[in-house]
Amino acid sequence: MSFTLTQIFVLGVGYLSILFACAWIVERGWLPQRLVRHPLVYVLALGMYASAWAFYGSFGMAERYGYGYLTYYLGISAAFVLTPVLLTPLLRLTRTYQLSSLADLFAFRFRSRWVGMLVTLGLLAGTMPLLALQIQAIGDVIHLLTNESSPYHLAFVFCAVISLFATLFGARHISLRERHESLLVAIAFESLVKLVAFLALGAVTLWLVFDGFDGLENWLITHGDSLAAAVQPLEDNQWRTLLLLFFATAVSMPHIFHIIFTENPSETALRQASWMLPIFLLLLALPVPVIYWGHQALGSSLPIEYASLSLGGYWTLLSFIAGLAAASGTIIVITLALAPMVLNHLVLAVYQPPAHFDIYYWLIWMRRLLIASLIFIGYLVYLVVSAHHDLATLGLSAFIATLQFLPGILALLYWPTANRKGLLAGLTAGFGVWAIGLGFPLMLDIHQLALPGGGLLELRGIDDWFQVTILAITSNILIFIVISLVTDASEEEKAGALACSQDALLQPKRLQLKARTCEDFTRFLSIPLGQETAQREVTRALNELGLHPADARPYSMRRLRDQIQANLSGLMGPAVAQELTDRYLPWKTKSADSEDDIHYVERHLEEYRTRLTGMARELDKLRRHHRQTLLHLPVGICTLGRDQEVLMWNRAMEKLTGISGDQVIGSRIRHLPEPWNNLLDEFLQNPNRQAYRQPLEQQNKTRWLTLHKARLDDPVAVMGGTVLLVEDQSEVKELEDKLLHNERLASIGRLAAGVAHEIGNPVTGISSLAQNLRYDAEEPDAVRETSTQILQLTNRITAIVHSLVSFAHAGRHSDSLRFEQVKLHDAFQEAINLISLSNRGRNRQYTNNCPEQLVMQGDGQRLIQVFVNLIGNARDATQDGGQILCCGYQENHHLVLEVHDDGCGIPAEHLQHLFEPFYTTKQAGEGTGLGLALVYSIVEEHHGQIQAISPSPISGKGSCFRCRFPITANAPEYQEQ
Amino acid sequence: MYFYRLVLVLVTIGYFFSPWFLLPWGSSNWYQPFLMWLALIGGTLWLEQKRRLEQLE
Repeated sequence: MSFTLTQIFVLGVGYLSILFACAWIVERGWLPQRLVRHPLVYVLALGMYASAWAFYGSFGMAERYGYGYLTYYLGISAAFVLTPVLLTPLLRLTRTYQLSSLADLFAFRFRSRWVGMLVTLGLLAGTMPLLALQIQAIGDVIHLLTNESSPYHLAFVFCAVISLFATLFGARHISLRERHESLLVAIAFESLVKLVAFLALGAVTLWLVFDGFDGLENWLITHGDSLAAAVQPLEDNQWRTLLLLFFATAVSMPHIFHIIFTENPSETALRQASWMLPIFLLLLALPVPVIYWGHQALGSSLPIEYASLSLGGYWTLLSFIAGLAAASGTIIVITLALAPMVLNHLVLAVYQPPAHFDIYYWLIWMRRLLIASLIFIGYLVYLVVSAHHDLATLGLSAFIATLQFLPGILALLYWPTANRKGLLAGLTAGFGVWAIGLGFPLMLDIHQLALPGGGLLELRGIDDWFQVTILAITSNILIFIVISLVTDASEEEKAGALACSQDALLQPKRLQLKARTCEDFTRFLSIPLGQETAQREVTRALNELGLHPADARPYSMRRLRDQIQANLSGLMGPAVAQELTDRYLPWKTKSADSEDDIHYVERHLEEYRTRLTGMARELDKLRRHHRQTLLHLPVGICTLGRDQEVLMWNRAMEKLTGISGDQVIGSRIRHLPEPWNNLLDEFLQNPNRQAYRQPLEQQNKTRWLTLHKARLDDPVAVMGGTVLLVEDQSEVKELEDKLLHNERLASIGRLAAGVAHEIGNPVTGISSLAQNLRYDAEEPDAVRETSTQILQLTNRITAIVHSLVSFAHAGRHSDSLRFEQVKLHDAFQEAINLISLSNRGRNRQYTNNCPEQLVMQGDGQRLIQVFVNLIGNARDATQDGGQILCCGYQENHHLVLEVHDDGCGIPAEHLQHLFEPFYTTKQAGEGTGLGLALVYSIVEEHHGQIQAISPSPISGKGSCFRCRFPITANAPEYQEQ
Repeated sequence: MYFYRLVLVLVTIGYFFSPWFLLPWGSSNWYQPFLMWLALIGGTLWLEQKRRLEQLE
């Protein structure tokens, strides 16, 4: 079975070249994207979990713990079963906040650079044995295949090639969150190679050594199930502990974390992996007992870890290739995962490149340098440790170390009150126990530790793995819980806890940034990053958010800041990103009464919708229902926060204004486009809760809007502010004006007979006087007298015609109200005169008791219309000789105008319907039913109220119509028109 | 999500009782753990289908 070093070198480098080619093909785009992004590629890449430890170390585990080797596969399978509650929330967190590693995640949640550093150091210490194990496996196999006593040089060459591959294909993107598709495909290819090779080796062993399943059964009957009768069969608790160890690897091992979360193409792929990865692992675990028994049946002298080499011949080379695939894949991904962590949490913590550096260039080359360095350190650890320990021991030690992160990860998701003091203390305790129990004996070869009392603590290394694991994890958990309970978390930590919590939504405050525009962002960020980098980061964030560079809404600025922080986190880790944004993009104030950012809450509620349960789900349904109701109400609704930031802009508002919600939500009311900003801002400043029929000039057209507002400051309201309702009454106004004009014309029609009579009398008089003139021609005095009478009569005619014409034309002023000082006595008198023109109006006694000094702001012609209608009704209700009294007086801050009559009165059942359009008690043809409706409309236009009282309080019979007008009406606004 | 809590409980129970599931080892049924494993995968697949239906509702 001996091969030369050259043969092995050519084979190994040949295989790694295929790996290069594979990645290169993807880079060139020769492989369809459909294939590259297929979930199966992701699952196969996850198969990288089965490292050299699985390929070789599993036999050592089987030898030592029998079926206990299965825990390696079952543990992580259990973690994938729990994808919805464990992996998916973590995936969403890492995506949302651009977190690329476990250290990033911890630093983000606990808002501490120290946490990031400790986690990075812990992961370095924990995974170095695993890295060394991979190299050791390659070195040992080379040694076994070539009988070369010093396989270190060839192992180094393989490390160098792997390092070249990792730097070329694993550090191509500047953002850590960008996927390396070429690398992923290459890793998937490696998983496929080792799966096929392992299955082939198992099948060959079964058929060549045992002659099929029956042979195997017979052999097992003869020799007993050696797996069940292992030297040190696992106790139940040991089994459970191993299961827990490998369960934790899914989230605590940096390379698994990297593939699951950083290289993840979609949530769907992760969900499919929840059952596909266990199948992959099952297929990998299945040949282990067969090959193990084959090794025993053949009586091979090879170490049990390398049982797969027992078949001899070219099958050995297949085993070597599969082992190389397993080891190289793990080395590549471990270093790719560790390098950014070391860069973000150790290097950048002590040194940040100056602004004039090209930061992208610097970061990418630092990452490449770290990848190569880590592989080299792994090689050094291999040189130091490999002589003393087998693969299973090194692997177990690494898994026990990284188990210490499991409590922190679970707390991160499900325990918001956990704090960094507890985490740091817990991790220190856990790692302390691990270092004393396993790290010192394995890595530093220390087997005795002096105790304070003078005694010595015997360290037995891996023989104590169970006790060390239990002690480390228990002390870690207990200290973490106790310290978290007795100490307080900082405000920043609480924000981090909210961001990570699965049961609560992050509720950031709606604060204002010092940077008001995108230019400000670039200017401020150019201090630490340089002009070019700052510009690039701002543009990138704007593009990702779909925002326009001119957008200066406070809401947009807050989103831009968050996006920039997330992107910087993807570049340099969350700790540095947070430090940069806090320092160079600070908030103006952080007052305690700042309001929650409702947009953020809503956006996240939408994202969480499918994950809400129970009462929360029902409440969310209710919320959505109410929101939909508001959005689709046919009245314009705009809600504002206390700081006058627009929180809602419904569909009707969009239609009314022509401005979409996306454009204005999050902006201040004064930043709305013209003319809406002035209209709404002035209304907000106005103490009145309603502004009736406000004119708005838009596109050479006048719109009539009625505005209402209500404060949301009652104690029940969680978020205060104002709600504005905007009604478009342009059409109603137009109809009303038409109606008013028609009513006037109808009134003129009704007055026509009286007018004819009134004009007929002076015309008869003029005719008589003209005849007299013929006879009085020679008497100048008589002529003068007659001329004077003629002039008086024509003046009378002119006055009648003028009243009639001005009344008829008043309704044509349909576009505006003409507010002026109106003398109410004169207005009453004008109305009485008009009514007196009619035939039926003559035999009534009209009394105008309105004081002459009583004036009000109003449209004179419309007020005369009111009085004409009221006096006309009074006339119709009274008999010949009836009394009609008009009076007015001031009462507190109101003017009260009354029209009394002593007529037949109004039955109580009619009183409440009097002001409804087309409601009339008159005979058909006598009234339209619109008179009082118009009176009501005009009084309301003057911010007044009208009331019908029957019987009249003065005469004790008939009826009384009382109008009340506020003395302080909105006169100045109307006067402008 | 109620469903996931149930799964969480089942996995926890499975974790504590897993050594007993593997008890009846014998030379004639060495593949028994793998059958149980297959059952676990089947359960996960069913869970995934169920989850998808639940989210579609």
